Amino acid sequence: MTARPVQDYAGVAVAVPVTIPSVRRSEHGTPWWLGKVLAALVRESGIAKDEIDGLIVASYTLRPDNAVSLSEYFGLSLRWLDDLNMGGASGPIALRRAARAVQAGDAEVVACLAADVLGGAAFGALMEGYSSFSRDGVMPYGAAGPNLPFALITRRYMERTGATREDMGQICVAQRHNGLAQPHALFKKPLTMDEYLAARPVAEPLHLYDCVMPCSGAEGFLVMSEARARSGNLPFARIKSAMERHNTYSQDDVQRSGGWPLDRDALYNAAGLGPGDMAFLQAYDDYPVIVMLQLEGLGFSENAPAFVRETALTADGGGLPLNTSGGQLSLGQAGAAGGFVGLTEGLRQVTGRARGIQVPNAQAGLVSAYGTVNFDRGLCSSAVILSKGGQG
Amino acid sequence: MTARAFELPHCEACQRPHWPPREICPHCLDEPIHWRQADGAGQVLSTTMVHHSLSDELRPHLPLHVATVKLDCGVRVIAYLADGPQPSGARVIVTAGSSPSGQEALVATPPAPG
Repeated sequence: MTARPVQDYAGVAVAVPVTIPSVRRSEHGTPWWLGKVLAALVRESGIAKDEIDGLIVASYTLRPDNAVSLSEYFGLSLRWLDDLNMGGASGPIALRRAARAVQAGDAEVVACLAADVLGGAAFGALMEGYSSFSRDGVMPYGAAGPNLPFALITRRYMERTGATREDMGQICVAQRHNGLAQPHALFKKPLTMDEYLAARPVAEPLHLYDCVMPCSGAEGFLVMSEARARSGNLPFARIKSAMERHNTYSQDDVQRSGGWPLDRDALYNAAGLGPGDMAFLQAYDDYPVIVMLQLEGLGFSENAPAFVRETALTADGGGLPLNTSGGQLSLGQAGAAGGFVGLTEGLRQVTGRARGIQVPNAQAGLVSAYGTVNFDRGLCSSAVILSKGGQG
Repeated sequence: MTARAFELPHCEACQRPHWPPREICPHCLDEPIHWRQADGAGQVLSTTMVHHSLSDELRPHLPLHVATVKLDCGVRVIAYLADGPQPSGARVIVTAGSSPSGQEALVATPPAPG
């Protein structure tokens, strides 16, 4: 049986990337953070609140409220509403769903929002209630949160590929360089390889700078028709192609890939582009090993440790600009908002509006994401190729 | 750490075990699922030494040695390494025991010599 061709994303515009700078400790609830994003989307787009008729929200800490609650909280009257509980993978997935809603005419303007309030005790509480498999099969073994499964994945990856801590450190050091140019980065000091290697162990082989800092923050963007974006003189990006996969390669004893290889060829073919055409890679970076898996799974290299040794990963290094905003390793991880960080940065890059280092001639770039460690591996993978659209 | 008989959730319809526990079998989507004695022999796939814990009860016992173990019956579990670090590939026996803070937990130990 031949698979039906996937419909393209023609006519869809992605615009107005918004980042509310993260803080270590927040005195506000999650709806406040989401409301700050929504207000910025309205203010920066010139699109009135009443014209937003679609909403999709990614958050772990919104409970007991949900996306429905927010319609009343913010006084929005909606005809399309989605509650996305996919953590780190949520950015490209929210974008795909919103884009299809706009193409189908189910909504005119969709606000895609993500926020979480995590820091201190809130992070422990989230981990305790994360999933039944985590409660029964992971947390009793050290109560180390996500550090435990990712330590196990990292150890296996290092033993299988020969990757060293220095290889992992290349990613962290380059991203910190990128992050220093961001006015809102949580980490404001340079990171040297010596400092990376000398950091205290957290869950070996993971050490301090391999782990993202839980924090509070929020991200968002708008999805609408190109015609709508043009009428408002909004700079926008186009979606060349996109994918999502869940619970792939479940027979692998220890996770060695997300779902990206299953869709890699289709993703590039639909875009008419290859990995070499990507001006940047915004890769999900909860831990550097997951960046390695994306470099391999998305066709940048069959040997990611060798690739990171040989390739400049800084945004201005002339190699492969990786996580040009500094990524979560520099900005902190505000729960599900971490799943939007690569996407908002990718949107800024292809519209030529980076807050930090702008990659020259960023015609197209790849944003990939990953998340939701239910038991011993992340179950959700997603990716989107963005290209330069209108300039407003 | 005290060892008890090792049991896994077991599907009465297709006779296969699984982990973590479910009420519906992930292999055949049938039921009932009953806990049945299982062979705890397996192989260490990956290990970690935990230095940071969210649990007040476990914190005094840091660092902790934890492994992913592939049991010979095909089931993958996370377990404490009771006798300290083990290399990947090492043979172990998983039993139902307790964590260093006394909570129920799976514990992997090297097989008895000979």
